[in-house]
Amino acid sequence: MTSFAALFTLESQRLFRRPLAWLVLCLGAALMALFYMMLMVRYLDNEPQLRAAGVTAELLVRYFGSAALIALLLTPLITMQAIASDQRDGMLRFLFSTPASSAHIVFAKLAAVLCLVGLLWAIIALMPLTLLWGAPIDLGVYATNLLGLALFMIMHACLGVMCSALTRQPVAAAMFALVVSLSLWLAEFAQRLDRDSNLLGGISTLTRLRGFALGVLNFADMVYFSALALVCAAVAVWAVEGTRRYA
Amino acid sequence: MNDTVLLAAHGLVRYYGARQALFDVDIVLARGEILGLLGQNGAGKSTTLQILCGALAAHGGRVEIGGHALASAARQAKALLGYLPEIPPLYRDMRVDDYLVACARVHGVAANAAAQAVARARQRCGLNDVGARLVSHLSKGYQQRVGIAQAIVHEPQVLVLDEPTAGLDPAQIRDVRELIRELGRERAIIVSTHILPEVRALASRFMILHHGRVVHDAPASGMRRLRVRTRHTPGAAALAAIAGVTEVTASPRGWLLTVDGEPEAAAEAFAVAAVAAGWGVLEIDPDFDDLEHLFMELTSGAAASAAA
Repeated sequence: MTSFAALFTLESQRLFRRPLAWLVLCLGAALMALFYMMLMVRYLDNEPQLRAAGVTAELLVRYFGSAALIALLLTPLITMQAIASDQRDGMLRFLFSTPASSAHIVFAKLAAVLCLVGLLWAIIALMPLTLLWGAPIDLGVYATNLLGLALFMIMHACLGVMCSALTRQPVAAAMFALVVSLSLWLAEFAQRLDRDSNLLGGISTLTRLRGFALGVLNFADMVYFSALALVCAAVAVWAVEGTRRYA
Repeated sequence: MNDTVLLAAHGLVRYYGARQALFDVDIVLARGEILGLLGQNGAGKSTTLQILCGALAAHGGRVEIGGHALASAARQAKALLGYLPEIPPLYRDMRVDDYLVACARVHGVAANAAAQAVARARQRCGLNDVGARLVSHLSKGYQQRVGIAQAIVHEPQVLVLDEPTAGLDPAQIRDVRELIRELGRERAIIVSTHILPEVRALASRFMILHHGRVVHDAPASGMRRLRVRTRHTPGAAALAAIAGVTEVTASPRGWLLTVDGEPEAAAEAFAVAAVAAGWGVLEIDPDFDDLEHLFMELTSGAAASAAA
């Protein structure tokens, strides 16, 4: 077993021992259940008017829109301690003295975070499957929404780990990640103010998710999320290695 | 002592911003050697140790562990290394056994050998009764012992220990010193501490750092002395004939006997000779003043300023 696998096991054990991890999962599940119920009630109360649009558009797509926002808000809570607390407690120096490289350290922590994020994604994904009992949903749209949400959550996990690598304070890391995430989310609204600019819309995660929500697989959107995730992971490795070299 | 060089560092340089913290520090350590690293606060001891372990990058110079360059073959070099920082590196939310297994695995111990390695380290460090407890629930002394256990769990060839007995009670200090001596027979060990008697009791070589420079690096054999005082003057020749004594010096309070082995063994030989000859023993004392005098001389006052 490589030092990466050993570190991944260690980080996963530590992450899933923290009450905060389970609290975030429970909070995520509870919020999504609440949204799901509200959407369901809204649909049933207004069925004659909403039937034309269909369950998929009126319930499923709105559900995944809410899920993205919930994931955006909760992911910083999962990632904030990933590297920042180790920097603060001196554990990062200890990890440097092991055979693991800086890249191993970052990617092991990221992989552990992705396990928890994946669990949250699975909870979100399973909930709307209950519709299959009573309503026809478009499984293609369901699949593209799942893919879009997965890419969105992976990107935000990488962003959170990057922010955690840039500070010694977990709370500061969470706030930093939240500000960047919300800025990327809200960039679309800024673009509405300046209609000549395509740049703000192009970098908005909200804009990039729209294609997935409508059942369209756009290669550019997939590249966007993947590239952002890779850049964030690379910056995290650079920051951690910088701590060893220059701190 | 086996002459195999296990750790070689040459020309180590380190800056913190514009301030230079280390100036061309050289350390060569062979199997079986225990190096006592001394220095005042801020002398560069922890920086040196962190560079030797790869926890901090050097801005000049090179480090080799077991023949592997730390810069180009870090994985192989670090697998041979055990490191106990000044503050023990502990995940407080883990159980002792789980933590030690994780440390063993990160250092490359195979899964089927990890449990045995942990049992051995636990036994050596007196942790058998606390394996199932959370690290955060342990006393400071036990946490220090867990720190030592993580440093030796993968049977490293080179051990770097920063203040290994900090926070331990006298009985634990004695046990840890004995453990270090035992480990030092087949390994190369660096011990950094502020406690001069500790270095005196353990080290086969002393190195003193001051303002980032090595101001003393010599075997401990020349520093191992006994101070003895007798009612009747035995004469230098009679004292020099005692087993283990290499040099006899008169002092205002008796005699200083330089020995080439353990001071305790020479003390026993002296006692036997004194009783047989009827010298009337008044005092037998391993003399630590030499090291303290040397340390004070090199790290304070005019000599230190000249060295810096």
